[in-house]
Amino acid sequence: MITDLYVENGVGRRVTDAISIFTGSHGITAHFQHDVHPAMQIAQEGDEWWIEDAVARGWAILTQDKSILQQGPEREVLKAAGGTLFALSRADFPMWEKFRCFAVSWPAVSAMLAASGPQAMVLQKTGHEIRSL
Amino acid sequence: MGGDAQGLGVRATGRSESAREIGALRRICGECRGSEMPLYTRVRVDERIEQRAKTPRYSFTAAGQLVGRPGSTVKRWTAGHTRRHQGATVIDPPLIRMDGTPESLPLSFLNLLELQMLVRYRDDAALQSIRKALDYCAVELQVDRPLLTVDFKVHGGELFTRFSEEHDDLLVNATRAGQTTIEDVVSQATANIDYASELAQRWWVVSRDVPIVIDSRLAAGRPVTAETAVRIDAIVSRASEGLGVDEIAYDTGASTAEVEAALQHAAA
Repeated sequence: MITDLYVENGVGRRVTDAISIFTGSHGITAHFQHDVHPAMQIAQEGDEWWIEDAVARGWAILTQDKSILQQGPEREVLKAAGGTLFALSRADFPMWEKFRCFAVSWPAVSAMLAASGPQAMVLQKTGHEIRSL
Repeated sequence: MGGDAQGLGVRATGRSESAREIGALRRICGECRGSEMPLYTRVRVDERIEQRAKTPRYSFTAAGQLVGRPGSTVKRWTAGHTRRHQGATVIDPPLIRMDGTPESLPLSFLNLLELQMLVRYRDDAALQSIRKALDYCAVELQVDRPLLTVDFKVHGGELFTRFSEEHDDLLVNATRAGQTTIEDVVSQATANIDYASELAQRWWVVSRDVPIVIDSRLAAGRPVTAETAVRIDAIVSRASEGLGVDEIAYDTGASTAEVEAALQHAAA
């Protein structure tokens, strides 16, 4: 059971804070990317390194960059590491919609957090879609 | 472009291997010209990085926004164009080799670099001349896409000059010759590009003083802040929700200077 969520910068600290406010209820602690990896540019190795690191910590990833699930090195790293990733269906959702996407699919999110990766889900305003890796 | 270069009649340098196998080349000897000795040493490039730079990521419209030209112009330059001239049909060939397809995502990071060069010198040199000069560089440097390599940054000016001399092509508009040299064309086109592992990796979209970059390794090649890698559209969407600079900085992890730069760039 995954109990920690790595929230990518673009999703936002407010969404991170909102999820963590209810840790006592749902058991999930959210971590903001900037706090975990403050020097995003030092590694200079694309997006793979933080995906690999978050998965190695045993965390799931919440991102607004759905393109990670397209063919490419990021997807391959996620797959090889056995990671779990939630991606918002659109990057330009307002902050409230981002949180809403996460909350409206909570039962499915919770079930995925209890399962083993590699696995991915695209979160929409009114539902979700499981993506194979 | 590389294929076209073969037809220019310039000195062939033996391209039996693919550019990927050969990699970028580094010059080793200033006195080698005119001899049979190679001008450049062979440096292996990272295939994964090269592949990332050539992955289609941008539509004509998106690329046009990034280089400051209408999407229709970008399409004409990259997909070719048919027009009527004095009653006859004229076909303008593409100036840039698309890495994708018009039906899906046509343009790559490398295509963006090529476009920004065309845009920058549209008023100084004929587009077809720049294209031919790039083809010439491709042959001389033994790479398919010279703009991708750090060797172009180092030797491109010299190669453009040689092209101009050998082909009697002024390259730079004579009316502006006093203001712009061929070397300027290359140095300015590459000034805002960072290289790593011999290949172009990052483009400072406005200038090095404005912390907005497109990095082929980050955020699927979308514009991001230079230090914190926050997508520019994530910053702009928060501003449209009414958040101030400090609030956006808090919510994204970007610095206030990065947020301000992103908003100014979006408003421009």
